[in-house]
Amino acid sequence: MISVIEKWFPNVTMNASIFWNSVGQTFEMTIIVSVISFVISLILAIGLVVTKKDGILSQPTVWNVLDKMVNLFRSIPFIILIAALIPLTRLISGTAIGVQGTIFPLIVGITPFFTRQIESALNEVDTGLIEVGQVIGLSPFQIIRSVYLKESIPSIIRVTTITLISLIGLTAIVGVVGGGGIGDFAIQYGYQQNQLDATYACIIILVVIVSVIQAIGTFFSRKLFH
Amino acid sequence: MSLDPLIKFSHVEKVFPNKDGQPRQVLRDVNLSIQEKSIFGIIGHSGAGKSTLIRCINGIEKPTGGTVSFSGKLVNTLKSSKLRSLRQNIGMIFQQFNLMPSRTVFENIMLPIKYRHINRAEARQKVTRLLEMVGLPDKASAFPSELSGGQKQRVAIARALIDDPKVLLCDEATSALDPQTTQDILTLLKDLNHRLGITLIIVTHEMEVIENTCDFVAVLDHGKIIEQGNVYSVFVNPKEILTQRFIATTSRLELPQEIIDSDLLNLTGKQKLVKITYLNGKAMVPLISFISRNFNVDANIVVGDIKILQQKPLGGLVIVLDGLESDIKKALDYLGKQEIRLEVQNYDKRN
Ligand SMILES: Nc1ncnc2c1ncn2[C@@H]1O[C@H](COP(=O)(O)OP(=O)(O)OP(=O)(O)O)[C@@H](O)[C@H]1O
Ligand SMILES: [Mg+2]
Repeated sequence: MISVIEKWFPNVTMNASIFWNSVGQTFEMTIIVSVISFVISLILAIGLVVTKKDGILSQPTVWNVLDKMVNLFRSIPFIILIAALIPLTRLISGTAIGVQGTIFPLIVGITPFFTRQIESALNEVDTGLIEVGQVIGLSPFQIIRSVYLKESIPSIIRVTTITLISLIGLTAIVGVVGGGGIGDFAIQYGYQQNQLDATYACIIILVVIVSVIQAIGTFFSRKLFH
Repeated sequence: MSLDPLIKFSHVEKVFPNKDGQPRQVLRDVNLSIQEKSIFGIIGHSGAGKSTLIRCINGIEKPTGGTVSFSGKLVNTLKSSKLRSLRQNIGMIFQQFNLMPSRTVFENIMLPIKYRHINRAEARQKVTRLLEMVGLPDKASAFPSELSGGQKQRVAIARALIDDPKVLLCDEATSALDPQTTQDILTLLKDLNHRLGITLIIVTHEMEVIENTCDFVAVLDHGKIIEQGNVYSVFVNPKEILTQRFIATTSRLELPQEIIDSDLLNLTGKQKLVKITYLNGKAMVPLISFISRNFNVDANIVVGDIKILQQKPLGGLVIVLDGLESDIKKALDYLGKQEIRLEVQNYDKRN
Protein backbone atom coordinates (compact mmCIF):
# COMPACT_ATOMS: atom_id res chain seq x y z
CA MET A 1 0.00 0.00 0.00
CA ILE A 2 2.68 2.45 1.13
CA SER A 3 4.81 1.47 -1.81
CA VAL A 4 1.92 2.05 -4.20
CA ILE A 5 1.49 5.58 -2.83
CA GLU A 6 5.26 6.13 -3.06
CA LYS A 7 5.19 4.94 -6.64
CA TRP A 8 2.30 7.10 -7.80
CA PHE A 9 2.89 10.18 -5.59
CA PRO A 10 6.68 10.44 -5.18
CA ASN A 11 6.79 14.17 -4.54
CA VAL A 12 3.92 14.10 -2.10
CA THR A 13 5.57 11.27 -0.19
CA MET A 14 8.75 13.31 -0.01
CA ASN A 15 6.84 16.29 1.45
CA ALA A 16 4.27 14.30 3.35
CA SER A 17 4.37 16.37 6.53
CA ILE A 18 4.00 19.62 4.58
CA PHE A 19 1.09 18.10 2.66
CA TRP A 20 -0.79 16.97 5.76
CA ASN A 21 0.00 20.26 7.42
CA SER A 22 -1.69 22.10 4.56
CA VAL A 23 -4.71 19.79 4.79
CA GLY A 24 -4.88 20.74 8.46
CA GLN A 25 -4.67 24.43 7.54
CA THR A 26 -7.58 24.04 5.15
CA PHE A 27 -9.65 22.52 7.95
CA GLU A 28 -8.58 25.28 10.32
CA MET A 29 -9.56 28.03 7.90
CA THR A 30 -12.85 26.35 6.99
CA ILE A 31 -13.90 25.76 10.57
CA ILE A 32 -13.00 29.20 11.96
CA VAL A 33 -14.45 31.07 8.99
CA SER A 34 -17.64 29.04 8.79
CA VAL A 35 -18.42 29.43 12.49
CA ILE A 36 -17.92 33.20 12.48
CA SER A 37 -19.62 33.66 9.11
CA PHE A 38 -22.57 31.50 10.15
CA VAL A 39 -23.32 33.75 13.10
CA ILE A 40 -23.00 36.96 11.05
CA SER A 41 -24.96 35.55 8.11
CA LEU A 42 -27.76 34.30 10.33
CA ILE A 43 -28.15 37.72 11.91
CA LEU A 44 -28.08 39.48 8.52
CA ALA A 45 -30.49 36.98 6.96
CA ILE A 46 -32.96 37.33 9.84
CA GLY A 47 -32.61 41.10 9.48
CA LEU A 48 -33.41 40.89 5.78
CA VAL A 49 -36.41 38.61 6.27
CA VAL A 50 -38.09 40.50 9.11
CA THR A 51 -37.53 44.03 7.74
CA LYS A 52 -38.71 43.35 4.20
CA LYS A 53 -42.05 44.72 3.00
CA ASP A 54 -44.73 42.55 4.67
CA GLY A 55 -42.10 41.28 7.13
CA ILE A 56 -42.98 40.94 10.80
CA LEU A 57 -40.93 44.07 11.63
CA SER A 58 -41.19 45.78 8.26
CA GLN A 59 -38.53 48.52 7.94
CA PRO A 60 -38.05 49.24 4.23
CA THR A 61 -35.09 51.58 4.77
CA VAL A 62 -33.16 49.10 6.89
CA TRP A 63 -33.97 46.35 4.41
CA ASN A 64 -32.73 48.47 1.52
CA VAL A 65 -29.39 49.20 3.19
CA LEU A 66 -28.83 45.53 4.11
CA ASP A 67 -29.87 44.33 0.68
CA LYS A 68 -27.59 46.77 -1.17
CA MET A 69 -24.64 45.98 1.07
CA VAL A 70 -24.94 42.26 0.53
CA ASN A 71 -25.24 42.78 -3.22
CA LEU A 72 -22.22 45.08 -3.29
CA PHE A 73 -19.94 42.55 -1.64
CA ARG A 74 -21.31 39.68 -3.66
CA SER A 75 -20.45 41.45 -6.89
CA ILE A 76 -16.71 41.74 -6.14
CA PRO A 77 -14.66 38.75 -7.40
CA PHE A 78 -12.95 37.10 -4.45
CA ILE A 79 -9.40 37.48 -5.75
CA ILE A 80 -9.92 41.24 -6.12
CA LEU A 81 -11.60 41.42 -2.72
CA ILE A 82 -8.50 39.87 -1.08
CA ALA A 83 -6.27 42.53 -2.59
CA ALA A 84 -8.66 45.35 -1.74
CA LEU A 85 -8.91 44.20 1.86
CA ILE A 86 -5.15 43.93 2.51
CA PRO A 87 -4.82 47.14 4.59
CA LEU A 88 -7.89 46.26 6.66
CA THR A 89 -6.70 42.66 7.05
CA ARG A 90 -3.32 43.89 8.36
CA LEU A 91 -5.12 46.12 10.82
CA ILE A 92 -7.37 43.35 12.10
CA SER A 93 -5.17 40.26 11.96
CA GLY A 94 -1.73 41.87 12.21
CA THR A 95 -0.71 40.17 8.97
CA ALA A 96 -2.08 39.69 5.48
CA ILE A 97 -0.45 36.33 4.80
CA GLY A 98 -0.63 32.81 6.17
CA VAL A 99 -3.71 31.27 7.71
CA GLN A 100 -4.10 34.17 10.11
CA GLY A 101 -4.16 36.64 7.25
CA THR A 102 -6.79 34.73 5.29
CA ILE A 103 -9.50 34.49 7.94
CA PHE A 104 -10.76 38.04 7.54
CA PRO A 105 -10.96 38.13 3.72
CA LEU A 106 -12.55 34.68 3.71
CA ILE A 107 -15.23 35.89 6.12
CA VAL A 108 -15.90 38.96 4.00
CA GLY A 109 -15.89 36.80 0.87
CA ILE A 110 -18.26 34.07 2.02
CA THR A 111 -20.68 35.97 4.30
CA PRO A 112 -22.73 37.69 1.56
CA PHE A 113 -23.23 34.33 -0.18
CA PHE A 114 -24.03 32.59 3.11
CA THR A 115 -26.47 35.39 4.02
CA ARG A 116 -28.39 34.97 0.76
CA GLN A 117 -28.46 31.22 1.24
CA ILE A 118 -29.88 31.45 4.76
CA GLU A 119 -32.26 34.21 3.68
CA SER A 120 -33.74 31.95 1.02
CA ALA A 121 -34.01 29.12 3.56
CA LEU A 122 -35.95 31.41 5.91
CA ASN A 123 -38.14 32.67 3.08
CA GLU A 124 -39.13 29.09 2.31
CA VAL A 125 -41.09 29.03 5.58
CA ASP A 126 -44.78 29.18 4.62
CA THR A 127 -46.27 32.63 5.24
CA GLY A 128 -49.28 30.84 6.76
CA LEU A 129 -47.02 29.61 9.58
CA ILE A 130 -45.74 33.12 10.25
CA GLU A 131 -49.33 34.30 10.36
CA VAL A 132 -50.12 31.61 12.92
CA GLY A 133 -47.30 32.96 15.06
CA GLN A 134 -48.95 36.38 14.99
CA VAL A 135 -52.47 35.04 15.49
CA ILE A 136 -51.52 33.07 18.63
CA GLY A 137 -49.94 36.18 20.10
CA LEU A 138 -46.20 35.45 19.81
CA SER A 139 -43.79 38.39 19.86
CA PRO A 140 -41.55 39.00 16.83
CA PHE A 141 -38.58 37.49 18.67
CA GLN A 142 -40.62 34.39 19.54
CA ILE A 143 -41.76 34.10 15.92
CA ILE A 144 -38.15 34.24 14.73
CA ARG A 145 -37.15 31.55 17.19
CA SER A 146 -40.12 29.21 17.18
CA VAL A 147 -41.31 29.56 13.61
CA TYR A 148 -38.65 30.94 11.26
CA LEU A 149 -35.63 29.17 12.73
CA LYS A 150 -37.35 26.05 14.01
CA GLU A 151 -39.13 25.38 10.73
CA SER A 152 -36.13 26.03 8.52
CA ILE A 153 -33.53 23.87 10.31
CA PRO A 154 -33.36 21.26 7.52
CA SER A 155 -33.03 24.01 4.87
CA ILE A 156 -30.40 25.83 6.91
CA ILE A 157 -28.38 22.62 7.17
CA ARG A 158 -28.71 22.16 3.43
CA VAL A 159 -27.53 25.68 2.57
CA THR A 160 -24.74 25.46 5.14
CA THR A 161 -23.48 22.38 3.33
CA ILE A 162 -23.51 24.24 0.02
CA THR A 163 -21.71 27.18 1.62
CA LEU A 164 -19.05 25.00 3.24
CA ILE A 165 -18.27 23.51 -0.15
CA SER A 166 -17.97 26.96 -1.72
CA LEU A 167 -15.83 28.03 1.21
CA ILE A 168 -13.40 25.18 0.61
CA GLY A 169 -13.10 26.52 -2.94
CA LEU A 170 -12.28 29.97 -1.58
CA THR A 171 -9.69 28.58 0.85
CA ALA A 172 -7.91 27.10 -2.16
CA ILE A 173 -7.94 30.50 -3.92
CA VAL A 174 -6.24 32.20 -0.98
CA GLY A 175 -3.36 29.81 -1.69
CA VAL A 176 -2.57 32.03 -4.68
CA VAL A 177 -1.62 34.86 -2.35
CA GLY A 178 0.30 32.65 0.05
CA GLY A 179 -2.55 31.94 2.39
CA GLY A 180 -1.67 28.36 3.28
CA GLY A 181 -3.81 25.27 2.95
CA ILE A 182 -4.28 22.72 0.21
CA GLY A 183 -4.48 25.41 -2.46
CA ASP A 184 -1.13 26.79 -1.38
CA PHE A 185 0.43 23.31 -1.54
CA ALA A 186 -0.99 22.71 -5.00
CA ILE A 187 0.46 25.99 -6.26
CA GLN A 188 3.89 25.69 -4.63
CA TYR A 189 4.57 22.08 -5.50
CA GLY A 190 2.13 21.17 -8.23
CA TYR A 191 2.17 24.35 -10.29
CA GLN A 192 5.43 26.18 -9.61
CA GLN A 193 7.63 23.04 -9.36
CA ASN A 194 5.61 21.22 -11.97
CA GLN A 195 4.99 18.17 -9.78
CA LEU A 196 1.79 16.84 -11.32
CA ASP A 197 1.30 14.19 -8.62
CA ALA A 198 1.09 16.94 -5.99
CA THR A 199 -1.76 18.58 -7.92
CA TYR A 200 -3.60 15.27 -8.23
CA ALA A 201 -3.16 14.51 -4.54
CA CYS A 202 -4.73 17.90 -3.76
CA ILE A 203 -7.67 17.18 -6.05
CA ILE A 204 -8.25 13.75 -4.48
CA ILE A 205 -8.18 15.08 -0.94
CA LEU A 206 -10.55 17.96 -1.87
CA VAL A 207 -13.01 15.58 -3.51
CA VAL A 208 -12.95 13.41 -0.39
CA ILE A 209 -13.55 16.39 1.94
CA VAL A 210 -16.38 17.77 -0.21
CA SER A 211 -18.06 14.36 -0.48
CA VAL A 212 -17.89 13.80 3.26
CA ILE A 213 -19.38 17.26 3.99
CA GLN A 214 -22.13 16.67 1.44
CA ALA A 215 -22.96 13.26 2.89
CA ILE A 216 -23.11 14.57 6.46
CA GLY A 217 -25.24 17.55 5.41
CA THR A 218 -27.69 15.40 3.47
CA PHE A 219 -27.96 12.94 6.35
CA PHE A 220 -28.90 15.56 8.94
CA SER A 221 -31.14 17.53 6.61
CA ARG A 222 -33.13 14.34 5.86
CA LYS A 223 -33.18 13.19 9.44
CA LEU A 224 -34.66 16.46 10.68
CA PHE A 225 -37.23 16.83 7.93
CA HIS A 226 -40.76 15.74 8.77
CA MET B 1 -83.24 42.18 24.84
CA SER B 2 -80.42 43.99 23.17
CA LEU B 3 -77.00 43.03 24.46
CA ASP B 4 -73.82 44.85 23.61
CA PRO B 5 -72.28 42.92 20.76
CA LEU B 6 -69.02 41.07 21.38
CA ILE B 7 -67.63 42.28 18.07
CA LYS B 8 -68.68 45.42 16.32
CA PHE B 9 -67.58 46.85 12.97
CA SER B 10 -68.52 50.48 12.33
CA HIS B 11 -67.97 51.94 8.88
CA VAL B 12 -64.86 49.85 8.35
CA GLU B 13 -62.87 50.62 5.22
CA LYS B 14 -59.70 48.96 3.99
CA VAL B 15 -57.62 50.29 1.13
CA PHE B 16 -54.46 48.49 0.09
CA PRO B 17 -51.81 50.69 -1.48
CA ASN B 18 -50.70 49.34 -4.80
CA LYS B 19 -47.39 49.52 -6.58
CA ASP B 20 -48.85 50.80 -9.85
CA GLY B 21 -50.40 53.77 -8.05
CA GLN B 22 -53.91 52.33 -8.14
CA PRO B 23 -55.01 51.89 -4.51
CA ARG B 24 -57.33 48.93 -4.05
CA GLN B 25 -60.38 49.29 -1.86
CA VAL B 26 -61.09 45.90 -0.36
CA LEU B 27 -63.65 46.78 2.36
CA ARG B 28 -66.33 49.46 1.98
CA ASP B 29 -68.38 50.80 4.87
CA VAL B 30 -68.66 47.47 6.66
CA ASN B 31 -71.05 47.47 9.62
CA LEU B 32 -71.49 44.31 11.65
CA SER B 33 -72.61 43.37 15.14
CA ILE B 34 -71.75 39.91 16.32
CA GLN B 35 -73.32 38.71 19.56
CA GLU B 36 -71.52 36.58 22.07
CA LYS B 37 -72.11 32.81 21.71
CA SER B 38 -73.60 33.15 18.23
CA ILE B 39 -72.45 31.46 15.04
CA PHE B 40 -71.93 34.16 12.45
CA GLY B 41 -71.29 33.32 8.81
CA ILE B 42 -69.70 35.55 6.20
CA ILE B 43 -70.11 34.44 2.61
CA GLY B 44 -68.69 35.88 -0.57
CA HIS B 45 -66.89 34.96 -3.74
CA SER B 46 -63.12 34.70 -3.97
CA GLY B 47 -61.55 38.12 -3.61
CA ALA B 48 -64.64 39.66 -1.99
CA GLY B 49 -62.55 40.61 1.04
CA LYS B 50 -63.64 37.91 3.50
CA SER B 51 -60.17 37.14 4.81
CA THR B 52 -59.35 40.82 5.09
CA LEU B 53 -62.55 41.39 7.07
CA ILE B 54 -62.05 38.52 9.51
CA ARG B 55 -58.39 39.52 10.03
CA CYS B 56 -59.51 42.95 11.22
CA ILE B 57 -61.00 41.23 14.28
CA ASN B 58 -57.64 40.09 15.65
CA GLY B 59 -55.75 43.05 14.26
CA ILE B 60 -53.70 41.16 11.67
CA GLU B 61 -55.10 43.71 9.22
CA LYS B 62 -55.59 47.33 10.23
CA PRO B 63 -58.64 49.09 8.80
CA THR B 64 -57.86 52.32 6.99
CA GLY B 65 -61.16 53.78 8.18
CA GLY B 66 -63.86 53.11 10.75
CA THR B 67 -63.53 51.11 13.94
CA VAL B 68 -63.53 47.50 15.06
CA SER B 69 -64.26 46.75 18.69
CA PHE B 70 -63.96 43.56 20.69
CA SER B 71 -65.66 43.35 24.11
CA GLY B 72 -66.05 47.11 23.94
CA LYS B 73 -62.33 47.72 23.33
CA LEU B 74 -61.12 49.28 20.10
CA VAL B 75 -58.95 46.78 18.25
CA ASN B 76 -57.58 49.02 15.55
CA THR B 77 -55.79 51.40 17.91
CA LEU B 78 -54.24 48.80 20.23
CA LYS B 79 -50.47 48.86 20.66
CA SER B 80 -48.64 45.69 19.74
CA SER B 81 -48.25 44.29 23.26
CA LYS B 82 -51.95 44.86 24.03
CA LEU B 83 -52.82 43.39 20.66
CA ARG B 84 -50.90 40.22 21.53
CA SER B 85 -52.88 39.72 24.72
CA LEU B 86 -56.11 40.38 22.83
CA ARG B 87 -55.13 37.65 20.36
CA GLN B 88 -55.02 35.15 23.19
CA ASN B 89 -58.81 35.65 23.39
CA ILE B 90 -59.30 35.00 19.70
CA GLY B 91 -58.52 31.62 18.18
CA MET B 92 -58.19 31.21 14.44
CA ILE B 93 -58.17 28.29 12.01
CA PHE B 94 -57.35 28.32 8.31
CA GLN B 95 -58.06 26.60 5.03
CA GLN B 96 -54.53 25.19 4.87
CA PHE B 97 -54.50 24.22 8.59
CA ASN B 98 -51.07 25.86 9.08
CA LEU B 99 -49.65 23.35 11.51
CA MET B 100 -45.93 23.54 12.21
CA PRO B 101 -44.47 20.61 10.23
CA SER B 102 -41.45 20.19 12.50
CA ARG B 103 -43.54 19.87 15.66
CA THR B 104 -45.60 16.98 16.92
CA VAL B 105 -49.33 17.37 17.45
CA PHE B 106 -48.68 17.90 21.15
CA GLU B 107 -46.05 20.60 20.52
CA ASN B 108 -48.30 22.29 17.98
CA ILE B 109 -51.12 22.57 20.49
CA MET B 110 -48.74 23.83 23.19
CA LEU B 111 -47.13 26.47 20.97
CA PRO B 112 -49.48 29.36 21.91
CA ILE B 113 -48.59 28.97 25.61
CA LYS B 114 -44.97 27.91 25.16
CA TYR B 115 -43.59 31.23 26.37
CA ARG B 116 -46.10 31.68 29.18
CA HIS B 117 -45.33 30.95 32.81
CA ILE B 118 -47.55 27.94 33.13
CA ASN B 119 -47.84 24.82 35.16
CA ARG B 120 -46.43 22.18 32.83
CA ALA B 121 -48.42 19.31 34.29
CA GLU B 122 -51.69 21.23 34.02
CA ALA B 123 -50.86 22.22 30.46
CA ARG B 124 -50.22 18.60 29.57
CA GLN B 125 -53.56 17.59 30.98
CA LYS B 126 -55.25 20.36 29.07
CA VAL B 127 -53.73 19.23 25.79
CA THR B 128 -54.87 15.68 26.51
CA ARG B 129 -58.38 16.94 27.24
CA LEU B 130 -58.44 19.03 24.04
CA LEU B 131 -57.25 16.09 21.97
CA GLU B 132 -60.10 14.05 23.36
CA MET B 133 -62.53 16.85 22.65
CA VAL B 134 -61.52 17.02 18.98
CA GLY B 135 -61.54 13.23 18.69
CA LEU B 136 -57.80 12.52 18.38
CA PRO B 137 -56.86 11.10 21.80
CA ASP B 138 -54.03 8.92 20.44
CA LYS B 139 -52.29 11.34 18.10
CA ALA B 140 -50.27 13.46 20.54
CA SER B 141 -46.90 12.30 19.29
CA ALA B 142 -47.73 12.17 15.57
CA PHE B 143 -46.31 14.71 13.13
CA PRO B 144 -48.72 16.72 10.93
CA SER B 145 -47.43 14.95 7.81
CA GLU B 146 -48.86 11.72 9.22
CA LEU B 147 -52.41 13.10 9.50
CA SER B 148 -55.31 13.44 7.05
CA GLY B 149 -56.76 16.86 6.24
CA GLY B 150 -59.65 16.46 8.65
CA GLN B 151 -57.30 15.36 11.43
CA LYS B 152 -55.02 18.33 10.76
CA GLN B 153 -57.96 20.69 11.09
CA ARG B 154 -58.91 19.04 14.38
CA VAL B 155 -55.39 19.63 15.68
CA ALA B 156 -55.61 23.24 14.50
CA ILE B 157 -58.89 23.59 16.41
CA ALA B 158 -57.29 22.16 19.55
CA ARG B 159 -54.39 24.62 19.15
CA ALA B 160 -56.85 27.49 18.79
CA LEU B 161 -58.65 26.42 21.98
CA ILE B 162 -55.64 26.06 24.29
CA ASP B 163 -56.06 29.63 25.53
CA ASP B 164 -59.83 29.27 26.19
CA PRO B 165 -60.68 31.95 23.63
CA LYS B 166 -64.05 33.67 23.50
CA VAL B 167 -64.10 33.57 19.73
CA LEU B 168 -62.95 31.19 17.05
CA LEU B 169 -62.35 32.69 13.61
CA CYS B 170 -62.67 30.13 10.84
CA ASP B 171 -61.28 31.31 7.50
CA GLU B 172 -62.48 28.79 4.90
CA ALA B 173 -61.74 26.09 7.45
CA THR B 174 -63.51 23.38 5.47
CA SER B 175 -62.71 24.47 1.92
CA ALA B 176 -59.86 21.99 1.53
CA LEU B 177 -61.87 19.05 2.86
CA ASP B 178 -64.18 16.51 1.22
CA PRO B 179 -67.94 16.76 1.89
CA GLN B 180 -68.06 14.12 4.63
CA THR B 181 -65.05 15.57 6.48
CA THR B 182 -66.53 19.05 6.05
CA GLN B 183 -69.69 17.80 7.79
CA ASP B 184 -67.67 16.25 10.62
CA ILE B 185 -65.67 19.43 11.22
CA LEU B 186 -68.81 21.60 11.12
CA THR B 187 -70.49 19.26 13.61
CA LEU B 188 -67.46 19.56 15.88
CA LEU B 189 -67.55 23.36 15.63
CA LYS B 190 -71.27 23.50 16.42
CA ASP B 191 -70.67 21.20 19.35
CA LEU B 192 -67.96 23.54 20.69
CA ASN B 193 -70.38 26.43 20.35
CA HIS B 194 -73.03 24.57 22.36
CA ARG B 195 -70.75 23.13 25.01
CA LEU B 196 -68.27 25.94 25.55
CA GLY B 197 -70.38 28.88 24.41
CA ILE B 198 -67.58 29.94 22.09
CA THR B 199 -68.57 32.50 19.45
CA LEU B 200 -67.86 31.23 15.94
CA ILE B 201 -67.19 33.41 12.94
CA ILE B 202 -67.24 31.32 9.82
CA VAL B 203 -65.96 32.62 6.51
CA THR B 204 -66.87 30.56 3.47
CA HIS B 205 -67.83 30.65 -0.17
CA GLU B 206 -70.21 27.71 0.25
CA MET B 207 -73.80 28.46 1.17
CA GLU B 208 -74.21 24.92 2.49
CA VAL B 209 -71.77 25.69 5.28
CA ILE B 210 -73.89 28.69 6.27
CA GLU B 211 -77.08 26.69 6.01
CA ASN B 212 -75.74 23.83 8.14
CA THR B 213 -74.02 25.80 10.81
CA CYS B 214 -74.79 29.48 11.20
CA ASP B 215 -77.37 31.53 13.09
CA PHE B 216 -76.59 34.75 11.24
CA VAL B 217 -75.16 35.48 7.84
CA ALA B 218 -73.62 38.46 6.08
CA VAL B 219 -73.15 38.44 2.32
CA LEU B 220 -70.01 40.23 1.16
CA ASP B 221 -69.73 41.44 -2.42
CA HIS B 222 -66.73 43.43 -3.61
CA GLY B 223 -65.99 44.55 -0.05
CA LYS B 224 -69.55 45.62 0.75
CA ILE B 225 -72.03 43.82 2.96
CA ILE B 226 -75.03 43.68 0.68
CA GLU B 227 -77.31 41.70 2.95
CA GLN B 228 -77.26 40.35 6.48
CA GLY B 229 -79.58 38.84 9.02
CA ASN B 230 -80.87 35.71 10.61
CA VAL B 231 -80.05 32.74 8.38
CA TYR B 232 -83.65 31.53 8.15
CA SER B 233 -85.05 34.88 7.13
CA VAL B 234 -82.30 35.44 4.59
CA PHE B 235 -82.87 32.00 3.11
CA VAL B 236 -86.62 32.45 2.96
CA ASN B 237 -86.54 35.92 1.58
CA PRO B 238 -83.24 36.85 -0.04
CA LYS B 239 -83.31 40.40 -1.39
CA GLU B 240 -80.14 40.62 -3.44
CA ILE B 241 -79.45 38.70 -6.61
CA LEU B 242 -76.09 37.46 -5.32
CA THR B 243 -77.76 36.11 -2.18
CA GLN B 244 -80.41 34.40 -4.29
CA ARG B 245 -77.69 32.82 -6.41
CA PHE B 246 -75.86 31.54 -3.34
CA ILE B 247 -79.10 30.08 -2.01
CA ALA B 248 -79.90 28.49 -5.35
CA THR B 249 -76.68 26.47 -4.99
CA THR B 250 -78.22 24.72 -1.98
CA SER B 251 -81.67 24.21 -3.45
CA ARG B 252 -82.93 21.65 -5.90
CA LEU B 253 -86.14 23.55 -6.43
CA GLU B 254 -85.13 24.95 -9.77
CA LEU B 255 -86.58 23.00 -12.65
CA PRO B 256 -83.83 22.26 -15.15
CA GLN B 257 -84.56 23.40 -18.68
CA GLU B 258 -84.04 19.84 -19.94
CA ILE B 259 -87.06 18.64 -18.00
CA ILE B 260 -89.18 21.42 -19.42
CA ASP B 261 -87.92 20.74 -22.93
CA SER B 262 -88.44 17.03 -22.63
CA ASP B 263 -91.86 15.51 -23.00
CA LEU B 264 -91.80 14.26 -19.44
CA LEU B 265 -94.06 17.00 -18.14
CA ASN B 266 -96.12 17.06 -21.27
CA LEU B 267 -97.57 20.46 -20.40
CA THR B 268 -100.66 21.43 -22.26
CA GLY B 269 -101.96 24.94 -22.64
CA LYS B 270 -104.33 24.95 -19.72
CA GLN B 271 -101.97 23.33 -17.21
CA LYS B 272 -100.05 25.62 -14.88
CA LEU B 273 -96.59 25.06 -13.50
CA VAL B 274 -96.51 26.52 -10.00
CA LYS B 275 -93.66 27.02 -7.55
CA ILE B 276 -94.51 27.28 -3.88
CA THR B 277 -91.91 28.39 -1.33
CA TYR B 278 -92.23 28.38 2.44
CA LEU B 279 -92.15 31.74 4.10
CA ASN B 280 -92.63 31.00 7.77
CA GLY B 281 -92.50 27.31 8.17
CA LYS B 282 -96.19 26.34 7.86
CA ALA B 283 -96.88 22.79 6.84
CA MET B 284 -97.51 22.50 3.13
CA VAL B 285 -98.84 19.07 2.41
CA PRO B 286 -102.40 19.88 3.58
CA LEU B 287 -102.41 22.75 1.06
CA ILE B 288 -101.99 20.34 -1.81
CA SER B 289 -104.68 17.95 -0.71
CA PHE B 290 -106.91 20.88 0.21
CA ILE B 291 -106.84 22.42 -3.25
CA SER B 292 -107.33 19.11 -5.01
CA ARG B 293 -110.32 18.28 -2.87
CA ASN B 294 -111.98 21.68 -2.80
CA PHE B 295 -111.26 23.06 -6.26
CA ASN B 296 -111.33 19.81 -8.15
CA VAL B 297 -107.86 20.23 -9.65
CA ASP B 298 -105.10 17.69 -9.97
CA ALA B 299 -101.92 18.77 -8.23
CA ASN B 300 -99.00 16.79 -9.49
CA ILE B 301 -95.74 17.30 -7.56
CA VAL B 302 -92.83 17.56 -9.98
CA VAL B 303 -89.98 18.61 -7.69
CA GLY B 304 -89.83 18.91 -3.94
CA ASP B 305 -87.01 20.13 -1.73
CA ILE B 306 -87.75 20.57 1.92
CA LYS B 307 -85.26 20.73 4.73
CA ILE B 308 -85.23 21.84 8.32
CA LEU B 309 -83.36 25.02 9.15
CA GLN B 310 -83.33 26.36 12.70
CA GLN B 311 -86.13 23.92 13.53
CA LYS B 312 -88.33 25.34 10.76
CA PRO B 313 -89.03 23.82 7.37
CA LEU B 314 -87.42 25.54 4.44
CA GLY B 315 -87.86 24.91 0.76
CA GLY B 316 -90.88 24.24 -1.37
CA LEU B 317 -92.50 22.36 -4.19
CA VAL B 318 -92.95 22.67 -7.90
CA ILE B 319 -96.37 21.36 -8.92
CA VAL B 320 -98.41 21.08 -12.09
CA LEU B 321 -102.04 22.08 -11.72
CA ASP B 322 -104.47 20.49 -14.10
CA GLY B 323 -108.23 20.90 -14.45
CA LEU B 324 -110.77 23.40 -15.64
CA GLU B 325 -109.36 26.86 -16.22
CA SER B 326 -111.79 28.40 -13.74
CA ASP B 327 -110.95 25.79 -11.11
CA ILE B 328 -107.22 26.38 -11.54
CA LYS B 329 -107.82 30.10 -11.14
CA LYS B 330 -109.73 29.52 -7.90
CA ALA B 331 -106.99 27.25 -6.58
CA LEU B 332 -104.35 29.85 -7.39
CA ASP B 333 -106.38 32.56 -5.69
CA TYR B 334 -106.57 30.40 -2.61
CA LEU B 335 -102.85 29.66 -2.62
CA GLY B 336 -102.11 33.35 -3.10
CA LYS B 337 -103.77 34.11 0.21
CA GLN B 338 -101.59 31.67 2.15
CA GLU B 339 -98.32 32.54 3.84
CA ILE B 340 -96.24 31.17 1.03
CA ARG B 341 -94.51 32.62 -1.98
CA LEU B 342 -96.36 31.62 -5.11
CA GLU B 343 -94.79 31.79 -8.52
CA VAL B 344 -96.76 30.72 -11.57
CA GLN B 345 -94.00 29.82 -13.92
CA ASN B 346 -94.30 30.32 -17.58
CA TYR B 347 -91.81 27.75 -18.68
CA ASP B 348 -91.79 28.22 -22.39
CA LYS B 349 -90.97 25.10 -24.15
CA ARG B 350 -88.19 25.89 -26.55
CA ASN B 351 -88.84 25.23 -30.26
N1 LIG C 1 -51.71 42.71 1.38
C1 LIG C 1 -52.44 43.01 0.30
N2 LIG C 1 -52.05 43.95 -0.58
C2 LIG C 1 -52.78 44.25 -1.67
N3 LIG C 1 -53.95 43.67 -1.97
C3 LIG C 1 -54.41 42.72 -1.15
C4 LIG C 1 -53.69 42.33 0.03
N4 LIG C 1 -54.40 41.37 0.66
C5 LIG C 1 -55.50 41.16 -0.09
N5 LIG C 1 -55.51 41.96 -1.17
C6 LIG C 1 -56.57 42.01 -2.19
O1 LIG C 1 -57.79 42.21 -1.54
C7 LIG C 1 -58.81 41.46 -2.18
C8 LIG C 1 -59.56 40.67 -1.14
O2 LIG C 1 -58.70 39.73 -0.58
P1 LIG C 1 -59.18 38.67 0.49
O3 LIG C 1 -58.07 37.73 0.71
O4 LIG C 1 -59.74 39.38 1.67
O5 LIG C 1 -60.36 37.95 -0.29
P2 LIG C 1 -61.18 36.67 0.09
O6 LIG C 1 -62.61 37.03 0.01
O7 LIG C 1 -60.69 36.09 1.36
O8 LIG C 1 -60.85 35.68 -1.09
P3 LIG C 1 -60.58 34.12 -1.11
O9 LIG C 1 -61.92 33.46 -1.12
O10 LIG C 1 -59.85 33.93 -2.39
O11 LIG C 1 -59.77 33.79 0.10
C9 LIG C 1 -58.14 40.60 -3.22
O12 LIG C 1 -58.42 41.15 -4.47
C10 LIG C 1 -56.68 40.70 -2.92
O13 LIG C 1 -55.93 40.71 -4.10
MG1 LIG D 1 -59.62 34.32 1.91
